[in-house]
Amino acid sequence: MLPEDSIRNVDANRDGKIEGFQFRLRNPWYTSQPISSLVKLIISVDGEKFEPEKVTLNVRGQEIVLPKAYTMYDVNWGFPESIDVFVEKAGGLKLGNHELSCEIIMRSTIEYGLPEEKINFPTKKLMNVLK
Amino acid sequence: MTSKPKVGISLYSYGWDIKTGKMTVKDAIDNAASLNVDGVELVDKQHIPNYPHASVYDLIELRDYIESYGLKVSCYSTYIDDLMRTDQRATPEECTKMLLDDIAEAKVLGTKIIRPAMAQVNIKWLPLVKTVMTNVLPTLKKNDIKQALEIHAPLPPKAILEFVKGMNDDYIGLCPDFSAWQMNKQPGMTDLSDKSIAETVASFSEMNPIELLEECMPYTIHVHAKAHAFKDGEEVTIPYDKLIPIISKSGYSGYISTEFEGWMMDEVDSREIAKTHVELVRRYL
Repeated sequence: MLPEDSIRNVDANRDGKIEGFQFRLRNPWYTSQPISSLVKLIISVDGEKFEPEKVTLNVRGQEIVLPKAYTMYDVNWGFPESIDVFVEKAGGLKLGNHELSCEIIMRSTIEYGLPEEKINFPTKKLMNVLK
Repeated sequence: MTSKPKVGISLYSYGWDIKTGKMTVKDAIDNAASLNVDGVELVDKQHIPNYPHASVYDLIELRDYIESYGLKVSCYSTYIDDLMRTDQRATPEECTKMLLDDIAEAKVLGTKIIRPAMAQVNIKWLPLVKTVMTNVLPTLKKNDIKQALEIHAPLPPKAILEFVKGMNDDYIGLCPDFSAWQMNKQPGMTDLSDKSIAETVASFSEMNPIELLEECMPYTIHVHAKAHAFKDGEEVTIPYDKLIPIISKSGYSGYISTEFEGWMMDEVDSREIAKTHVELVRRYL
């Protein structure tokens, strides 16, 4: 779900200041799903958690701040598709290895009889920030 | 001359390699064609570019690619996402709209069978299914596309059989899924971290009397030959040796579509799996 070489610090404004970091995240579901089915995406690096407001999804060039995703029914996370996840953190991450944790909870859009129709996809990976 | 079932592959079977980017949908079609099957089944939420906003040009390209091998799209498996919204379930009109879109896509793909997964886990939703099916019947007939209701645990097969009998229309039939005749819980389920999910998914397979398949065959328009794991060329929990001969003897001439689902539990080599699965079906035909 987390391509190893995908993490990097980002200077989105190109003003020489790092605003945060981003990484690629593959759709863990077994089909394409609307972005609204993303119930929770809890991101932490080396144990430091980031608030949803600090997280922006980039879906085929469309920037979606995480709290808005829950009601976005018409934008799909494809199968297979990796999206960019940007996390606001002034100065970014120090170069080197970091443990990235993504706790993803997704909601089914058809009834399976699952508890609250939700599935949890916890994932952790040691990611090397090279730039 | 007695008719014989056709053998097809659902591209769902290549799920692991497609999901992980090791194969494209076209790679999966190439592989299916190399196994000399008669058709491939497509799943809308897995194989249609830009789902749910399918482009007619992409659909034509996909159809032409499949037909360039002399194959047909055996079935278009779709999902009616009635829990799309977070605040309420889709209304019958919204479900009808979704299904009409699926039928239009099926028409472009050139298939004669559509299988919409709709309200599959509770018998209380069957009246909704009936309303939606009735709404789309004129469109199905005009376009000569039949709609298959899947016999898939946990709904009792008898209820689905009786429902289809009650609809009493040639354009509505059954798609028995072999998970309804699975002897044990699915292998690999115990590996899932979340117990409640493991139990729910396990409940999607159930051992029903073999004879029930005989009863279903007169109404059957498509078959899902489900599999989860193989050992020595046999499916470990599903009695293909009993099920396939029942289909053969019934005079059914539609597709038996291999549908491997083991990739949900574990990494697999999809090409090897597809070959084993097709050989298994052919062995008992």
